Amino acid sequence: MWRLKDILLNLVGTKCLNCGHVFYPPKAACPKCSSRNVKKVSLGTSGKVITYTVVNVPIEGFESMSPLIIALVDTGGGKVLTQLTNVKPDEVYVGMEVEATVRRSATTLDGYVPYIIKFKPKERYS
Amino acid sequence: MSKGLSVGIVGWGAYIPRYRIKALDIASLWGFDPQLVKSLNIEEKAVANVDEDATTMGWYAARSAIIRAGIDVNEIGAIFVGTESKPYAVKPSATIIADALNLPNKKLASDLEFACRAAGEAIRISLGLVSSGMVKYSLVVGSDTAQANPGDVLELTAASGAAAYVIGPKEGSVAYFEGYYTFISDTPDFWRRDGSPYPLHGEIFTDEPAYFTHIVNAVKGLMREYSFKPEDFDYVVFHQPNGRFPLKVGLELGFTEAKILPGLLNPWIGNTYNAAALIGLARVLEESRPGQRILLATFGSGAGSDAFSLVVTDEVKSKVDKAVKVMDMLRNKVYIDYGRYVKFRKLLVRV
Ligand SMILES: [Zn+2]
Repeated sequence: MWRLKDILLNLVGTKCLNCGHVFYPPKAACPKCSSRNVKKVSLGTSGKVITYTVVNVPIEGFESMSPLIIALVDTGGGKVLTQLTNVKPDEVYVGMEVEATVRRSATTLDGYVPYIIKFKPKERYS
Repeated sequence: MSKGLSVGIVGWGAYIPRYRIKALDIASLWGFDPQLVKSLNIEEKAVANVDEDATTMGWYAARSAIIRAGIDVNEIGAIFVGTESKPYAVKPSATIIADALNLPNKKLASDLEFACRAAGEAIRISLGLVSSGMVKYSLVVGSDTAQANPGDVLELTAASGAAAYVIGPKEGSVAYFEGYYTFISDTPDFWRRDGSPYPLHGEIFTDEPAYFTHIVNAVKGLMREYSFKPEDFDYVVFHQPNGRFPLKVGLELGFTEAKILPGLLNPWIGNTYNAAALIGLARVLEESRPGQRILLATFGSGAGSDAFSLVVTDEVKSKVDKAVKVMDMLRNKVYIDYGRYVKFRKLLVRV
């Protein structure tokens, strides 16, 4: 799990230098044009909800976090499939402004705590 | 007067989780006298979400501190996390926070434990590291999801929060250190044994021999060594286990209520342990003016207190709005009932 920490904690995606497509999580080849001419890019730390779904009966280990809200977030730099936190299902809407934050995911069977990026409603500054 | 120190706070950040529970809700569930809540001067406390812990909150505060500092993170030579609620008994939180912030691998990193004053000790250590030139910047994080046995009077105040400070050269700092004084002794006022989920404590929290004795000695020691008078300070910020003790100790030391209240957040967020005094300091920095002098006094059971004297510089104004402010986080709140509090703080164990 910890080998993935760059992806999980820093929102690093890849950009295809052939067709310009940006994808997350990063891959060695572009899923659109198959070019291997790709580079790592930072996707940014805030964005808007494009669409979302609510998981009321999550897989084992995630019960304490249910209902889980899984959203596709457009950060401007790319699209990220992510979990929303600090928000209830009836408060989420398409276009909602959200920001990236580090949170715990479900503890693994051997007791490891994975820290990952989730998105939460954007903090308001006065 | 400054003992040759040339060190200051370069950036600061705080984190208060969004959820609050009313102290009276806890009191009525367990049958506490509402007068007790009133006497402790506690309205409500901040509760971390189910997916938050000392590491995630510390990360958030540290990120704000680095943004405000506006420095190259590769120049951070040390990170210390003061906490008594580390997610792992053995495995540092400092390394997790450092990697998530892309700090360089070449640095010191450690979690420190001294009840609620470990982060205060981290500031003392950082003063030494920076003033000796061993590191350019040191990142200090205080973060806790304070534990309390359900039904213990401690549950009225034990809360969650974090604060972080980038300590670096005086030049370019938002506030520089003039002096410091630490006072410690072996005082068994509050402890948590290995493997125990909740702490034990003496008579209602830590009282005369612990909180008051150590803070009074640290502050009086600072005043004596640097020839300060209470009138020299514009703000005084104390560790805040409840809303009453800081006012009592401050008045006893000769400070006016008006100097204590801006840094006293316990009535609205509870006791955030290692973050308690440091969130108070963040709040004060956010409203301070250049030239003002701040007294900071931490406290940790077991027991000890660090007193620091700081002077605010012209840099503070340009940094305040670069990250989320304490007052914004105080306002951005959602009340939860005891049931959700139990779920968030994992007080129910599923089998
Ligand atoms: Zn392509």
